[in-house]
Amino acid sequence: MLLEISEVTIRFGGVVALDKVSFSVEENKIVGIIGPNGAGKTSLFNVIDGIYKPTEGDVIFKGDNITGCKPHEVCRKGIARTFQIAQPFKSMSVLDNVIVAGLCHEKSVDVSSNEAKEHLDFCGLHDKKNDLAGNLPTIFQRRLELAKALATHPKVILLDEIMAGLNINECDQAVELVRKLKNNGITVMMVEHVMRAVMALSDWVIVLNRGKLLMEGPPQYVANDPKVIEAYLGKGVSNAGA
Amino acid sequence: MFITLRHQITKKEIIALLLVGLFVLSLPGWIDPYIQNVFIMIFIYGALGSAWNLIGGYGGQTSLGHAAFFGIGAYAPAILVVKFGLSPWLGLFVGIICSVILSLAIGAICFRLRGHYFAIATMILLEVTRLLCLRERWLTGGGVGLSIPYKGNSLYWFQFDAKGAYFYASLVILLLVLFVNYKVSVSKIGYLLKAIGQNEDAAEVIGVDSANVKRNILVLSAALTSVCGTFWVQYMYFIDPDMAFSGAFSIEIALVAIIGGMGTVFGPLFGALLLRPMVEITSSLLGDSFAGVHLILYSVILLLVVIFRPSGIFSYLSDWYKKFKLKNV
Repeated sequence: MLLEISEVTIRFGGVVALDKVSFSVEENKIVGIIGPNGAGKTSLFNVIDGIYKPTEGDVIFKGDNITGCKPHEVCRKGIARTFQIAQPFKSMSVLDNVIVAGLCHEKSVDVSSNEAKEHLDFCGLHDKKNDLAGNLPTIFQRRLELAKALATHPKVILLDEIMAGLNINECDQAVELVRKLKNNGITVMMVEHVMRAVMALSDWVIVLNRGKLLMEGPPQYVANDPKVIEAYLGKGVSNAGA
Repeated sequence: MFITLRHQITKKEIIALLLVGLFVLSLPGWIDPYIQNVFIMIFIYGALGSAWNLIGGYGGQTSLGHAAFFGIGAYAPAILVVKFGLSPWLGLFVGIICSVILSLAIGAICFRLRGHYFAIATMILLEVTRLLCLRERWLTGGGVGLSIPYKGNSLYWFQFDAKGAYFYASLVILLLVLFVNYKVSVSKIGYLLKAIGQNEDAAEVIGVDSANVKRNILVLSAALTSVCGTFWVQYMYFIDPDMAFSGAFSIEIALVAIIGGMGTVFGPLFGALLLRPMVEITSSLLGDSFAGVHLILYSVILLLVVIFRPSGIFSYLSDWYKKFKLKNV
């Protein structure tokens, strides 16, 4: 197992955001993480990423216990992350944004710059590379988030609601992009509300509800489970996927 | 506001720079020593502002305690010469080492704080350094300060009869600091600093060890500031705690960079070019009746810059120059 989440619990005062959550992620799979708002999905990402230190439990990556590592350490070990609300470096160009990400494993700005152009091409941002990141429309800022994450040479990418607010065409394009990630050997964990994408992409689905792991399994199996449907999905969703 | 200087230099620009350079180099040959002194002040304040710029401009961490490094750089050679009879060249290195150690301590304590809190913490640390200096009379001479004895025209003691020597020395220091600024702006650390300044958390997530980067740039800034302090005490033959560890002086250093243009290579030098002559003129014209008029002017200029041109006055020049180049290509 590439990534193991073991009994991870995080409490903020009286609120238990994650409650003994345990599951494993296989290499080169796409894992969808779903659940109603407040279920703890983003908290889970924050724990894996090192932004939060869990109250209890461990995160084990490639056999290494990375619980409590700082975000930049986690990134260097091979786990990258995009944010729900894109966080570009606004006064820098799109290209410079990706160069910075590449510099975590590269000393030379020129080498990082050449590589950055490849990542921008992969994400369809080739002709925007000299634009100011702060001026990009939201959908391209999301792609920039992905390009930055890719530039850090990750084994695992945590995608936080990248489909939010996209129309059907944009969503399909994003789904294709995520498939390309898997084809390039990357393991993807995606927090998503857009069921169309979850069903189309996931090899495995984790369902969180109120901080607890409700269930996990293949997408069709999870979608048809009455407990999950009751918690949040509604009927007929199992037909929405490809 | 933060400009990466990836600029292809043209033949015409090189020639222009050479001409300016030759002109500047010739100055001690024909200008009056008082004016030479003004230039020395411009060079040193330019160097100080540029050194501050590394942490304050590129690094985005407003330090208001930089005089601490300046003071150490000044006291080290003074103490070594006066108390131990050792060459100020040794003092130069001792000053740099002590400033670096202090900067590591400041970094470890203060970088946990952000924004205004960081600035206040640096001011406090400066004051602590000043009080220590006042107290340790056996070493520093206390409030009376230290006077460096005249040893005659000597490179070993770094003392010269001709003002021109100090002119060239301060120019060399300025060029060194400008070169470091340039290197930072186009290198890996420059990019990382810019990203940290824009969004430190987002930078962390893509692998930037921001604590480490900030610490490194502060060390560089401290070392260069210390060199300026060493020059100062050799030029003035005197140092005391009020001059060395002055809060007002710390602010002046920052102002030179802020008014000129933070986060650019030439901004602080331009700030010094503007502000130093202003100080000299007001002191000589109004010094008898209205001492300190330059302080009022500092405030007014700072207000105007902050309101109308936060990127600094040099940006007017660089914008004009960019348009000029486009028209004449």
